[in-house]
Amino acid sequence: MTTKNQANAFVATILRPTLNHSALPSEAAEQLLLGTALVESRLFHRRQIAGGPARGFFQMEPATHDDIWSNFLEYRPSLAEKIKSLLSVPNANAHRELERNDKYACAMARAHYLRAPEALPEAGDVRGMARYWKQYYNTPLGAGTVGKYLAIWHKVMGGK
Amino acid sequence: MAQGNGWEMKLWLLCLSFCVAPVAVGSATILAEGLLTLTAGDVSEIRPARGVTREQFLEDWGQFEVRIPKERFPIPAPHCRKDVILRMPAVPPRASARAQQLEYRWNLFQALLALSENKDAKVELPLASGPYIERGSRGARELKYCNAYVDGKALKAWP
Repeated sequence: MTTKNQANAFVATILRPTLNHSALPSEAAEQLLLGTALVESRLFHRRQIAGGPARGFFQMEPATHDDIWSNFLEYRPSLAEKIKSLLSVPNANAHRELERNDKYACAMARAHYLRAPEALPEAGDVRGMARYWKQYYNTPLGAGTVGKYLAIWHKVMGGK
Repeated sequence: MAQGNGWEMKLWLLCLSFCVAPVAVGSATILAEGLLTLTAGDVSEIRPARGVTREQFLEDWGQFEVRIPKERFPIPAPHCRKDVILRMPAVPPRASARAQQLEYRWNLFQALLALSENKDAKVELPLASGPYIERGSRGARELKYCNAYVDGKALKAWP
């Protein structure tokens, strides 16, 4: 089970630097991305259990990744350049990077949330984050639930 | 009768036999228009389990899963080891007619749970045409992974 210390280290070494690098610093985004990684992978699974397509701690599917590039980042060259510069080498296989390069995966997850029509919940609003994740990241088709997000968040980060 | 009418009649008969006859790959049956009929023997597990309260069900936006042994699912699932996961999509907070949709899902969920108590009972569900359904090497539909979905939009139109 992931500990609070591990989660905080993930924020300090991956989430915060990546958000700063992408010129998108925000405490709310840090919390949402941490919650997303915890509920999607427990910060443990880099491949989807039972052989599904999702990759990395944020469990993004390659098809979703490609769609973000084609229909969102294509029209935002400044952000696209910042995210590209996170690849481990310039011509890296992006789908493999999703699985192994946590900063690249984090930036893609943030880009995914940027497409949502609703503003991020306030920092500290854990239930709002859970709903936001379910609606826009996991989506109504996904297996996740608001209750599952809250349970994992509180188990790792404490509070209620 | 004009020549064209003969062709129309043949096409109509072809359509009638294709559209009405169930495709029986597994034991659960599926009509060509995508209506899946489940009986007790088709279900290995339902999640959440029987003890879930209506309040918990609504808090999870009315979503649930029916696990069906792959050999009983009407669409082949060659990449799936054991069960196909048939998922009822969630109803997001701002969905139109949300209360009615959730009520319908709750009743459907109860009907699925009750299947195990009556071997003659059946539950019909509209099967979504995607995602994760592709054409296999012989052109027939097959599941890309183990996931299939109830068509939530078709469901809304039901009584």
